[in-house]
Amino acid sequence: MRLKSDPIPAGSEVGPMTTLLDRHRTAVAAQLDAIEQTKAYEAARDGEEGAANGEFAERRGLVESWIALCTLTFALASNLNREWRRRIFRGVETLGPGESDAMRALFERWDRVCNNEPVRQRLQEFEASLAAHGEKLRGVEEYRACCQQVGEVLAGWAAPVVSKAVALQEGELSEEDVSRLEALAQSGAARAKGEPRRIR
Amino acid sequence: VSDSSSPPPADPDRVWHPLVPAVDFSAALLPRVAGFDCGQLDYEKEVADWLKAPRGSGGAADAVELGEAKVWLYETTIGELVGYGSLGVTHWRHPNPKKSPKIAMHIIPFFGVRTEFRGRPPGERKTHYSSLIFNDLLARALDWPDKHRWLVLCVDAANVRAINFYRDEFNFAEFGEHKGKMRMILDLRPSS
Repeated sequence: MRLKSDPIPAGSEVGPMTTLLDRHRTAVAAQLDAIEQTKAYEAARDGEEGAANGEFAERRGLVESWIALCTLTFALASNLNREWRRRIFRGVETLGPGESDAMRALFERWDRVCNNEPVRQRLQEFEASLAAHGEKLRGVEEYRACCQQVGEVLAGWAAPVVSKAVALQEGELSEEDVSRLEALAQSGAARAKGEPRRIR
Repeated sequence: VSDSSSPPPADPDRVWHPLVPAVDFSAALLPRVAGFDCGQLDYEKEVADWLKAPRGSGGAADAVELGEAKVWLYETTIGELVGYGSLGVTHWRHPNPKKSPKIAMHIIPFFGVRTEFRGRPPGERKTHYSSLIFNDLLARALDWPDKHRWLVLCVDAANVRAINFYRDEFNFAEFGEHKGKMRMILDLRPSS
């Protein structure tokens, strides 16, 4: 999968889905840029002032938005990774040089930007001060689940491969196949016998 | 898909236990299937190897993880692993292989019965483990959330026993070729 800025190799064919995946990857990278630049998690401080304080509420909102952005970006990266893997598994795309590393780098970057030590420390302190007032940080459970998942994704990382079962690789129907299918549909010659039963 | 060569001789005193409802397979169950064996012919090994393939090598565990297929293990009431089945959905393009909309069909990527359970329990074909498991797969295809009319599988052209099994027991018809394998198809639409 190429980034938009990458040169298109001479003679290569770029399908519509490849272009879509490229755009998607660029969008995730841009989202990570935004998250990195805002550093909104830094607003997670001085919780002792109390939940009623207006400035505190504003900071809380900023932190919650930042968390939501991290969670959303992780979901986007995961969907992209899954779709890319499925297309290679089905034999629709082939794995290009450097593609696996580029995809892995998205998750490594997410981990660096959204799950670093200062972030964890700030959030922990902020949550503690909210808890003292019987409040919770919205979306923090989902965010923590992403932090756990990113570790699993990176620890189990392997380049995608095509399915060993050729039946799961996408195929084409020839004119002859379609004629045969139409004949079978008309004649009922391949109609399933009886009523199959589940093992109970 | 394997239910191929002749069954090995069985101990006449052996008790053949009934099957229990299938277990969902995933990478966590790879140790359970490590000794799975369907026979020594290439197409028989292919069936066993797909199930046993480690994560990241294009086998059953990957198909499940990517949501490309569901795979089930079939065991007896005393926990003997008898066989496995799998089911997914595939897409075929027509008339233009690049641009036309895809036709979705159910697909059985692989189905296999362990050598020692092939042609067992003794008796009528429809009571054999292979028939019971395959019937369970068909019923699961009919229960699939998205219903498709056609069920396809790919079988090695040399696997005559399996081809006869699908054709004679279930009424599959030959349906061309796909990546070096014979394709067979079944119409799941109920008779009117």
